[in-house]
Amino acid sequence: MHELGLMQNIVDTVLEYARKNSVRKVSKIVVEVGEMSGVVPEALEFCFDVCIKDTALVGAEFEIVRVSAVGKCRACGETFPLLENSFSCPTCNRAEWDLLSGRDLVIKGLEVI
Amino acid sequence: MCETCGCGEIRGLHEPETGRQRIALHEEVLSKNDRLAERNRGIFETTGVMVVNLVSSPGSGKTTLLERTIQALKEECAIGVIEGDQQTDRDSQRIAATGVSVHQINTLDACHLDAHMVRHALDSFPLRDLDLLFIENVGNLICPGAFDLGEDYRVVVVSTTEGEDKPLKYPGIFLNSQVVLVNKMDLADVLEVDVNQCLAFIKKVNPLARSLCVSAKTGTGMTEWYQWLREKMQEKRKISPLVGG
Repeated sequence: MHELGLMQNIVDTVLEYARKNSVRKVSKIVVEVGEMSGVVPEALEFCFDVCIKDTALVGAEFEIVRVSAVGKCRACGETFPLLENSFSCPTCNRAEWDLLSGRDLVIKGLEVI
Repeated sequence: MCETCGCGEIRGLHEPETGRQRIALHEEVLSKNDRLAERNRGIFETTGVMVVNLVSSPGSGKTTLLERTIQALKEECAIGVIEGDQQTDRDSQRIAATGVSVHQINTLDACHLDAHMVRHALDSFPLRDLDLLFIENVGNLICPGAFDLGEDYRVVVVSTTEGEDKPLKYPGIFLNSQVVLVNKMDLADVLEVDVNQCLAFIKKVNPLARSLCVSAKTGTGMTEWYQWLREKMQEKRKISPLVGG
């Protein structure tokens, strides 16, 4: 349950950005959560209201974009979603791949007024 | 600059109908931890100490594994241990009894160690005199996987008492670990655990990880683990500006 600390990081980063760029009002924060990031999206969402309390972000929306863990097969080059295929290439059935996406936890962007 | 009308300094797109503007940030949430981890890595690089981040569920036998490893290697190399637990110094007392230097971090409400906590703990050690530093992370198979501490290697301990399928259920932490120790092999028969199945699952999630079957209690399979540590310490010494050459 490290989502509270991560959410606090997100809120701090956004507030800092808003201050530096003289943003009047942040209306939405969009965060990408990878399937392999070790972050539970629901837990992160739950922490949002707690972390924005008494900040300039009160009233802002929080949107999570889930990112699938995608691997690229080392044998045949096929790219495939890892979890749905139990970590094996659906084309050649080999289990040797490089991770292309799914580890990240990224503040993708903001909507400001 | 705004891509729609060229106004302002902020890059983004106007949506005139709502008065809202989209701004792309692409800021890694863990970038602060990653920066601190890089600094720790620099310290380990300069001092030549080989650092292992030991992660597992609670009760997989990390501390017992460390006790046995220290007893086996302490005559041939200088070892230090950072212990991470939410509460108590029970583990660091066990490690202190082996005669090596140890520092306990109590994370209180945190479920993992981060690079910042480790940086402060490093002040307790004469790093230049150490060959090997173990960081025993908080027992948790999820959260520690997200936090780089600056270590050279991440080693996962998974024990036979946890069944065969932990690697599939908690793939994140196995994904970027270099070694997986399957511990409590002395109990495998009693528990009727299919160890080969567990090894196959590990290979599925991380084809490049090295898996070793051990019993920290009886010593089975530990020689190979010690050999791995020796090899990696030697590699580290060679590249360190202060030690190698």
